[in-house]
Amino acid sequence: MISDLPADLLEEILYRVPATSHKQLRSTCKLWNVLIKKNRRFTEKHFHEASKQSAVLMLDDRKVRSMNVNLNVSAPSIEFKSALSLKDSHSNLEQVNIARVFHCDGLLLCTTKEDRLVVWNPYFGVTRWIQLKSDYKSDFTYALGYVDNKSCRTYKILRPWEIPSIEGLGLEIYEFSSNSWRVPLSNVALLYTYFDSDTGVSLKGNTYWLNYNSEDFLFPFDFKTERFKCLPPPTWIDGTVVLSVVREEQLSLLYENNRTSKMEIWITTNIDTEAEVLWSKSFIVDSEIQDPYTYHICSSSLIDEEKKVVVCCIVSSDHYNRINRMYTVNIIGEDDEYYTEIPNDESLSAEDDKYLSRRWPIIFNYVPSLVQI
Amino acid sequence: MSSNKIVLTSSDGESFEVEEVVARKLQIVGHMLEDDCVINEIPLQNVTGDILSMVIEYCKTHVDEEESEEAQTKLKTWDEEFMKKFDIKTLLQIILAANYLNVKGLLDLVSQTIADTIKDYTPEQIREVFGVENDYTEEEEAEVRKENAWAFDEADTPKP
Repeated sequence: MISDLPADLLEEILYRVPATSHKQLRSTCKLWNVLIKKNRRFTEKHFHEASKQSAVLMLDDRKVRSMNVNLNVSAPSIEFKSALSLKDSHSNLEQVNIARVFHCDGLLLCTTKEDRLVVWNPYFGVTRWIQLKSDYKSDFTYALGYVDNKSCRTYKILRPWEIPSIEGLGLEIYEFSSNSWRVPLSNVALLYTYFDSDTGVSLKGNTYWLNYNSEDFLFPFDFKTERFKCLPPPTWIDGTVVLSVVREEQLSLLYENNRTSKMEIWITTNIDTEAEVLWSKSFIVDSEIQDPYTYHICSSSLIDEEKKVVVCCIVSSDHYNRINRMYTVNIIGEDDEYYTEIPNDESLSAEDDKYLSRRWPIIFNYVPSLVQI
Repeated sequence: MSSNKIVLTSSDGESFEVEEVVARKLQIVGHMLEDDCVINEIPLQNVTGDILSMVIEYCKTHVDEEESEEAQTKLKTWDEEFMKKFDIKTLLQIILAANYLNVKGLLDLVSQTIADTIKDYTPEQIREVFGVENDYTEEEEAEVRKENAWAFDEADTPKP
């Protein structure tokens, strides 16, 4: 039994423990709790040294829940866990209804069903409600990003909105440091496109949006220069594309060809908003969907390029009524391994149906972090 | 580097004769040799013989740290195998020794190994191993657990 381990040695050990296990550490004693929760040096060291153990989260039915996804080739499995609790101290609601979610650096930027905006670190159970201006409407898109300064990391929220008269986007940025919205120097971006927040992902602080209906394809927003770029697709696209992040290091594309049931997986080999983005085709899986026009791939996927496995949501939809009836979460491997799991067979109420007609479930990798907000 | 032999003596009187290059991997010894170059026997008060022998084994293996990828991979494999020999209590003894003797590489290796080991422990197991007292009241402990409502339990454990 070691009761006299010096504080610096203890810290040396504890910051290397992945955040997924901090619950046990913090429950151990008060000193450890304070060290993990309040010590900036510890947070920094943890960020650089600890292994990034990721979990899988899913936004479904207005709640964020965690999933156990096992991609072992011999016995793949998916287990859906209970919803993570997001509470609003100003409301009597037991659970806040989440309409959209955007993940960046262990933080979830959520738009509630009541069109409120909150940044949430589900790992610490800490929230920060963002004040919106009165002229803000629902359906706005928001993205969370950061800039690494010498001493610390500053977080920002981007709000782009369409201005049809100039065929461009207006931009506004929320600064965490000043708690206020401001217009950046380049206040409009001449991009004649509009993004659905569900297609955006965050990688190394910057946001990448996808719009495969326009000539340009990928739209990185650099939070340092506060500018957009436009990049071409890696291949001729004639189908559905889903953007996701691999190991917090690279972007991946799942491209479903409209004429076959094949899905191509492309992964970036070089990602740098200053320079170009290079892609290479990684592997191909077969979704085994016979009639692709009756189905949609959901706007999210997880890629494991080593095991050559895709986890994706497939939504069956009724095009005439614009309603999505049900969805399945699928594990699809390169060599015809195919595993399907239906998460939720509860029948949807009429109101839910209307609501869900625009919103599909979203699955994403989540790496917990010790960020204070 | 000369091939002088140095004798390192543990707190319980065990002596180890090692090459000077190996002894210098212990930075505490390195500093002593710089201060006075005619020492050939060094008493090390804060480490017992059984732990010191393990530190020496590590230093002998890491004495030529080659840059080549192949050599690095080989060393990494050796490190992993070496760490597998010890239980958590021995690892905690080694980290204290590595800190006292100032062997940076070993300190990093053991810290990581302990972190990887305790990540699957319950708070009770952690308290026992580290000799930490639970100073929470029941309410406070429940509050911390609630704050951490994140259900990560078994999140990364593959099913059998």
